[in-house]
Amino acid sequence: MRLLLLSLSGLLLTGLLIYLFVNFGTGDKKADEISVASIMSGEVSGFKKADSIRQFIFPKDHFAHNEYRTEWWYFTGNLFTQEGRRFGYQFTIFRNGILPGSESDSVVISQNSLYSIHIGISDIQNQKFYSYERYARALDGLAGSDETAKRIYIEGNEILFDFSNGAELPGFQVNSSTDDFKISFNLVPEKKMVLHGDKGLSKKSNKPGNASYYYSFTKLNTGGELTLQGKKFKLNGSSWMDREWSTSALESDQKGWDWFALQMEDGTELMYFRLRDSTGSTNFQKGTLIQMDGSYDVFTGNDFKITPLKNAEIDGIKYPVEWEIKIIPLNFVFGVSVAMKNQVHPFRLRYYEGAINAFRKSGNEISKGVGYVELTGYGD
Amino acid sequence: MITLFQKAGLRYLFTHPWQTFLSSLGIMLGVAVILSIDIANESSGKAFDISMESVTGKTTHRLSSRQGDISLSNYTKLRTDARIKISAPVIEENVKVLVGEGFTATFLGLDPFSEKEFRNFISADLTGGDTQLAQFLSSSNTVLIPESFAREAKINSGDTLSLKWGDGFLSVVCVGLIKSNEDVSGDRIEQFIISDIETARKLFKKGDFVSYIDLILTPSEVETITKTILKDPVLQLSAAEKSNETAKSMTEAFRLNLNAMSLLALIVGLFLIYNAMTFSVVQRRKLLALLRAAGVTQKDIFIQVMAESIFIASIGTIGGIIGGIFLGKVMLGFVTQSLNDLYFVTTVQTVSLSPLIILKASLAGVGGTIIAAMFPAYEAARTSPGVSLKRSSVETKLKKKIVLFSIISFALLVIGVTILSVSGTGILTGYFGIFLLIIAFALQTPAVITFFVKVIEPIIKKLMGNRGKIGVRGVTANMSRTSVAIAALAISVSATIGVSTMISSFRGTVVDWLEQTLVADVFVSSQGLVSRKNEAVLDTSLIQRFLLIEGVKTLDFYSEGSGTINNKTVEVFGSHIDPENESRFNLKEGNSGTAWEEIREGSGVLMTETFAYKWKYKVGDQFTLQSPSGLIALKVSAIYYDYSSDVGHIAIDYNHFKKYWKNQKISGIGVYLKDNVDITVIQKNLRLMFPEESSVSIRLNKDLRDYSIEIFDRTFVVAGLLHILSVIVAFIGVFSALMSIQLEKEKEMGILRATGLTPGQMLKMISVQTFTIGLIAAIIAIPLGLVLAYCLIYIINLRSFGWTMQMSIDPVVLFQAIIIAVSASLLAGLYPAYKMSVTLPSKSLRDE
Repeated sequence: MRLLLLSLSGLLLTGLLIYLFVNFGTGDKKADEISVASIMSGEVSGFKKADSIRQFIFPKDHFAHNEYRTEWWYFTGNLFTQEGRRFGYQFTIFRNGILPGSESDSVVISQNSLYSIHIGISDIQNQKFYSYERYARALDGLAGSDETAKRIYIEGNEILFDFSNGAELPGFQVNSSTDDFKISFNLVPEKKMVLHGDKGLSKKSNKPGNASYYYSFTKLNTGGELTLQGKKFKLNGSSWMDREWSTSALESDQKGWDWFALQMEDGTELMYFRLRDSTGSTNFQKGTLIQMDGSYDVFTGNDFKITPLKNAEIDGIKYPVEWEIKIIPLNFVFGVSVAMKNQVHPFRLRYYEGAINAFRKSGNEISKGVGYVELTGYGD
Repeated sequence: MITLFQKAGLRYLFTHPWQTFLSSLGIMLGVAVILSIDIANESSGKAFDISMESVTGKTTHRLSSRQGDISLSNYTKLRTDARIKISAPVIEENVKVLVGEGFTATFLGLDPFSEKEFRNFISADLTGGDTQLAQFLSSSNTVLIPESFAREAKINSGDTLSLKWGDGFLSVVCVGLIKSNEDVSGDRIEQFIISDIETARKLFKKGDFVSYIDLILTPSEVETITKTILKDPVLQLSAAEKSNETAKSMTEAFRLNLNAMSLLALIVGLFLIYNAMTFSVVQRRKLLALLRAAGVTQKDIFIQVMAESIFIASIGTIGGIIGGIFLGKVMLGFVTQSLNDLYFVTTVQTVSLSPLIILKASLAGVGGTIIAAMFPAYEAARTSPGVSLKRSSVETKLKKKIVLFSIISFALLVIGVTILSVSGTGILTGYFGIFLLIIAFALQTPAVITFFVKVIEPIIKKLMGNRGKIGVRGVTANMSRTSVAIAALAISVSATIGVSTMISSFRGTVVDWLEQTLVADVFVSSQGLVSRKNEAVLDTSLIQRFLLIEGVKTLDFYSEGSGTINNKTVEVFGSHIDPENESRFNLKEGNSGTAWEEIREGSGVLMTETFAYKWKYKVGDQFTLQSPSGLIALKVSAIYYDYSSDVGHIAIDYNHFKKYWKNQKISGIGVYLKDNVDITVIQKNLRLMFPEESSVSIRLNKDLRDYSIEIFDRTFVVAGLLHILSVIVAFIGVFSALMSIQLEKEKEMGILRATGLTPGQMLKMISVQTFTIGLIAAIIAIPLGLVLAYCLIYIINLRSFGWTMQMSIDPVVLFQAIIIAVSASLLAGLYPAYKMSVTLPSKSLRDE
């Protein structure tokens, strides 16, 4: 019987070897997914650069600039129900140029732009974060920037401009309709437009040309409705709107950024951002402090000192969740912490976009506030 | 521990390498045939899935317009109003790549941002990485092409390609090659050019239109679309999955038939193994007897012989697997060709080898051998030491059993016929019945041998004297050997007769049908990219334009659409038949007078024979057909012969069809010419109405007929190849049987040689014997072959495809069969005869 077994096992072994031989080299290979980031890091030739101070023209500049590669309409805010239940929200429409367009491309006839929308809702009470993302090539009725209709839109989401108080002080209507939630907010500016950096030319590094056009409405009185999983909430609070376009990219020694928008109870606001290098140290930083009356001052370089105080791990990636930000010339110290831990968009380009709490100490005086933080480039 | 005794057994195999080789060879061929068919089937099946997927991707539905391109506003509506999550607009155009002699390719304009859920074209690895992807998107004339296509067309990354599209030329730059992703795609040839949709939209001047919109939908989304977007009657939503499934099930019968043929090869192979093992036992009868006398038990000997057989089986199976892989590649070519011709377009190059099919082939080889070796092993173990020295005892026993064999044979015949007649439509049961008939015939071999030898013995004696008589009698004297060899040869040859007769009957029927049906002078049609059916792409305006051409008398035309009966998709033809041409439909059932009346008034349908068979419809049956614009109540007016596809279809009058399938284009037009018109001029004029690389084909009557027959012939190349293999298997069988007979009779021959027989005379004598063997095999093979042909035509093909064929027996085929049997036998006997004749008598007689 041993002979039988011997013959059989020999046969099986040989069969296996043949099988392995024939199938050698055809092992599993997982197809890479398309990465938007990789596309956007590609060709920039043909696009205009934000390399000089610009004479803004409104309302035109509120709409798409197809000759630049990247731009966004960025709303963030902290809203409350009458009972004081708090919701943070982010509503952003991005435009990414695929092929350079021209300034006259006001009507959508070309699919040379990729629009996308990111919405984040932070339900602070339930510690629940809702994340929504959609893409669409620019196409009439589907996605685009329409100056005539005063509308930036993608699928069922839109930003409507209201120029009844003049194009430089627009009101906004932000609408969204998704499976998880519905948004309908009305935003009225309390302060005039803030031009960051040098008259709206905001440098992102010390290299010339690596800059963006950047302006904000730092205090927008917001009211409206949020329907979350079938439940309707009437909300009031304040929002912040950032408007930025450029053809810049991160420098090779820049790994990501931390961006803060603080709205203090004393009527001041702070915009502060820093770009980090691969060690996590500050590579470039800048900020704007807005006074109660709407006047503002720009601070740069060594005027700021930021110290992360505490980290938290979310999906295996460490994010700072508490900071101290000093404006040295004014001897202002801001303490900032996130309003809830997980406010990470689990997109292919993963980032933290969340509601924050803040306080400011100047001498014995303490002022509280709320705001938003954006953290990118962590865990890459 | 291997015992000395076991070692002796193995040593025997090594000291007789040729014999071991011959025995293994039979197994090897059997295993190789089975494996190769499996490989061909599996690889082509996989290729089918892939080619479907590479075009339709994971698409569940496709939204298109009945009028050609679809407006992008519908895409907008899908995403905004209907809130459909996963959708992708696609532009698809046929172009000719002007490289070398030119390649026709499908140009696909895709939106990479919508694509990732659908196809793996762009997400597949690019040979040059992300930079290429960026270039691909950020220029207005850049394309990607699959590596395999680039290799074939000799295109490199960076090349500028000239494309012919319509009457114009386009210039694009290939910025990257898409790696063939083995695990998903195999090494398929993808004749695709891929660009960003925006690039394609500009190149092909599509304006606000695309070719279609691919969708991945949930059932509730389907409902939403039906309620909203589909209110526009121009739009149609087709389910991709369904058509894939239909296309796949079409090929099942074809595959099953191939598998059955490989089983036939296995049957012949098993006979051979039996023969080989018996031979090896016979050779050592003396040795085994001595061993028995020395005290080796029956069990030991049995195990010994079985172990040997497994050893031989191992060699044979391994060889068979290697050979099967090579043979599989050859087979795959033929099978793919047939599938391409008959069902859909696909090209496979990679042999896909799953452990399962290797296991199956190994089991067939080893398991088959074990079963076949049982009897010889039993024979070796069973007989007592004394008797074992004489094989004549086996012969005596066999002769006694002839009557028993005949009874069993008759019983099997009855069972087989009963199974065949009551098994309804089962294909597998059909094959089982046929298998029983084959065994029944094989069991008659000893009886036929006895009878035949008795008949020809006096004749041969008269012609060739005693030497001839000895030769002929040798066949009966060694019946335990010769009967197996003859049976194996007879089965192989009968398979040749059966399959050849089936093919020639089929061919004859199809040729007759073509003669009768293809009566138009010129045919205009367009073939689809994936499906083998003629796609409805010809504009209805062509009808008027064709009629204006000088010399055109009348037109027949049809449009191919689909509908559902009881939720199953069926092909529906809207046919316009000029009353003059009605006679070209050869009706199987139905009254030609009333049938045409019913069809023209819209209440009746014409149904192909295959359709009626599969759906079990008879003339007069009523049914409801779901069309795009509602239900139609119809009646089967007539069933007609049609050999164009085994799927079958129903045909209704075009005017009626038009009402329900709105905006449907034309699939094919048959043009009838006036007398004395130069047909080639008309063909040229027709050609001018279409852009050069459009997939429209304009064929003359004769060309189409030749083409159809060519396709038919190609379909049966596989069958032909299998025959050759089974004849080879049989040849080896006869060869080893004769070797064994001659070796056994070494002494006998020695005596004859010693008494004065010259080598030449000896050769003649042995040749008489082998000739007789061949002749007997042919005598059994002819009736068995005809029975097989009958079964294949009226049972297997009918059940598989639903076609009726007129059986026609070709005497040439029968004559060929005799030649094959006799020459195989004679040839196989040559070497043993030669060996016998050169052996010195003294050497053979030394033992005496």
